[in-house]
Amino acid sequence: MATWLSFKPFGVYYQDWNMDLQALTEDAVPVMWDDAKPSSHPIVVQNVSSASAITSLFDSITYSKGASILRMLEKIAGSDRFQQGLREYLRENAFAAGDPTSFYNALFPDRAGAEFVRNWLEEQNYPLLTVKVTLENDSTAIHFSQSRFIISDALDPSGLDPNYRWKIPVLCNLGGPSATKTIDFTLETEHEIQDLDHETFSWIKCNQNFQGFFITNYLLPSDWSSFSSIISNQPNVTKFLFVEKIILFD
Amino acid sequence: MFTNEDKVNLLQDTFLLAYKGSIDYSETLAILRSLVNSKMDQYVLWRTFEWHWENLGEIVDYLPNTIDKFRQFAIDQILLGTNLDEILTITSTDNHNTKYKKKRMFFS
Repeated sequence: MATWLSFKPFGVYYQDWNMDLQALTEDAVPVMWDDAKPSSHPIVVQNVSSASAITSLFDSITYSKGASILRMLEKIAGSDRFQQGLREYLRENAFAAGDPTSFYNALFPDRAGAEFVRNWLEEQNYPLLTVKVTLENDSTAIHFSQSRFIISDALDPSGLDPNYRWKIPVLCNLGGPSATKTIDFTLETEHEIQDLDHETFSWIKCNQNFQGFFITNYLLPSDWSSFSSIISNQPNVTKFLFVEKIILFD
Repeated sequence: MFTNEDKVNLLQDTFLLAYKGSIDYSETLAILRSLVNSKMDQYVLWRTFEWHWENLGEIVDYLPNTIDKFRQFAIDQILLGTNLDEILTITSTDNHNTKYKKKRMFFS
């Protein structure tokens, strides 16, 4: 929490420094490398008893992933709710060992807040969100699936639960010549399809504003020409980049 | 259309996916080039590139006939639209972001 809150005074006194943005390069970018290995550990570790075990936990996962998860929670809940929830938590637990359950629930009153937060705190690594877009006639189907992301196949993942499912806050923007759309839901299962009947788009970008602590891969159907033709029909596009995904710049 | 956070996100995702072998590095470099061509003027974008490029440099160092091309690619991106004198000179219009960006470009 201290790592994440350390950016806050700059946001008040030196807004043009954009320190909120630098939380990504100070914490999220490097720690996603560390946390993509089987040797990583959850932020919350139970039954730590020896001094050496405690010392070993003062690492990038505890500080930088911890700050990145708190950043994600604040982005989803909103800054005002995050600040208010933290104030109430500190007031209720002053001079005592606090149980953060009430804080987590206050952040997300419309869902099981504590369950959502602990889902990210008590499991090591992070998910890969795969987004596959298929078009049929004048409708779009977007297939979302999740799996554990490990940086190299040479690493042994046998000690990890292959069926663990994160509660992923999916926030995607879609755009096209005549319409834009936002998809906002929590992916809790391995796979989910969002059908957009009678709607077509030429690009999609998920993990809006890099709010979530996960990475995204995008898959297009084998017939790339259909997507190319959609993009080429964009009247407002001045520049686009077509990689293994449909994305636009500018 | 994309925020700076979105652009950092695209660099981060494609560098990690390419390292794993899920996508080709040409995808990553295509995104980087398009960002550079569209005036990559934010420090955090250069810092993301630098972090991954240094990471890769430790591997590339051991590959034959690769390190020179690897180094030249980074130099080409850094010097596109600018020169070493501009990077080394602080002007009255430089702000926190541009000073930081120049520092990262120099160290890269």
